[in-house]
Amino acid sequence: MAGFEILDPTVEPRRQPLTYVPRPDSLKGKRVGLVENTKFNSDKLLQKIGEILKTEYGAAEARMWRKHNSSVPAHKEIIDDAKQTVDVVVAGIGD
Amino acid sequence: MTARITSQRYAVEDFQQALELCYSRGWTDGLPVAPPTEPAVRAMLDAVGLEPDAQVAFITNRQVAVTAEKAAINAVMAGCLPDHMPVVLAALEGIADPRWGYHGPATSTGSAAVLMIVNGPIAKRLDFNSGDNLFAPGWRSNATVGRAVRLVMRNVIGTLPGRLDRGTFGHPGRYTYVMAENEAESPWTPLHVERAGCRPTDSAVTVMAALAPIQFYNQLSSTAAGVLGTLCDTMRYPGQIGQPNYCVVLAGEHMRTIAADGWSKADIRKFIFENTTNTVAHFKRTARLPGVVKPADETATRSLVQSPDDILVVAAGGRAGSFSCYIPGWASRTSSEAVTVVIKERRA
Amino acid sequence: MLDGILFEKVGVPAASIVTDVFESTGHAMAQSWGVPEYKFLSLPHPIANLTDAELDARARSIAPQVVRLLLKGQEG
Repeated sequence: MAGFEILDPTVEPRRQPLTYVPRPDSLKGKRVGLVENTKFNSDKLLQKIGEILKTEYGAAEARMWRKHNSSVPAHKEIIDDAKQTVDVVVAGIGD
Repeated sequence: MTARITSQRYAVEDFQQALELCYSRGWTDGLPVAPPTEPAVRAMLDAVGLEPDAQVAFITNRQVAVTAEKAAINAVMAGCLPDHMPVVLAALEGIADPRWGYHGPATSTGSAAVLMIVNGPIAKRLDFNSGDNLFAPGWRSNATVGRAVRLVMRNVIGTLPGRLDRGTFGHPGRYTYVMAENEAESPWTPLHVERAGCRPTDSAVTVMAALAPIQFYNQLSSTAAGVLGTLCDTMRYPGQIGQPNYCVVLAGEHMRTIAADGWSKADIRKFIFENTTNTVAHFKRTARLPGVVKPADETATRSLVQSPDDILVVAAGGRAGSFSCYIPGWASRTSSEAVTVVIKERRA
Repeated sequence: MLDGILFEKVGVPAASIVTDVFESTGHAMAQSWGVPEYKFLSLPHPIANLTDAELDARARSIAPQVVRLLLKGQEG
């Protein structure tokens, strides 16, 4: 039997340019956004992290958004709102 | 002008070497695949009139485009015929639909498979099984179309166990999970006509993120309420809370008993919806909901799904046997819902 | 995990946290999005059944890493 060729069924992910945002020097006076993914206790844990960022690192405030569900990215309203009202974001957590 | 097929090519000596290459590259579901040669792939593309680089689906949450070429390669590997290509493409369109929400059902530890329900004339023409041994091996269309979609998920969309597929258990439906509705014997409106406003002469595939089928037994009842009462008793203790859909598959004996009482699919859905509620207290006691049981929880009830319309009723399964089954959907209504897509014979 | 990437894309410095059993999935997701080197944090799995005191301990253990990722960013 003569040889033949087969075709690759896979794709390589394309690299995307992602310029990371310049960071602040400290969290003093910064507004922290917390984006919780709806998994049980995620909100509590992020709240606690937010508290520590305020009391120990001088963040001005911490406010939370809740995603529609854990399997989708934060929806547009969250992202638009966060862009306007916070300086940094902490997102998660877990299953 | 026909565009070139651009996928990387691998030279092999013979079938065995082709097969072992596919295994070694991690391109199979564990079963042997047919070698994806250019003529075979080209026949798939010609069957739907698509150029290789045509995009047939885009998975937003993964930033992955599925091209006709990659769909065709995987369909060949799965053992599909060119005639199957329109069904494969419709199913891919369905799982890429934001309502189906690809990332959740594909990735979740909750282990959904892609249940596909084929309706319309194409089901008979391509011999999709709708009867005896509904989910069993032996029918090429059921076996290969579901498998092709799974191979695309694996090879193109990156749905690999341990990486972007974290199913705790998975289930055998992840090899293939395809049925047709038994429209020839069904006394009811076909699923695609009810759900998507299709004409009965249209062909369509409904994709649902689904767990494994669970069958129930009732040989004693001669009434619709009797048969469905057993179903509801089985169904009402869910594996998860708040599932978006349930599919109820009624086989021959039960189908005839229920129809003899004059019940429509809408009657069936309403009965199931009303007879599968649980109290919040029950859910709390069994740790399906958080919190301590309060007096009001004893009377507060939750329904299995948000609306009777979230229950998909399908006539299918063997003519003999006092069994029917139900198939729980995955996760919640905000995470995924069943989507019906019309099958287009040609896309160009 | 993906949320961190999306916030960076719109100009908000972000830190994403997953639980450790999902690290491989986070890396695969970053790869799928074309940023395979994207850094994120992880905590021991699971968290859903932890007591309040245990959640306090988890928050305390991760906070310095959160601050570091927010201030030093992906280059840090």
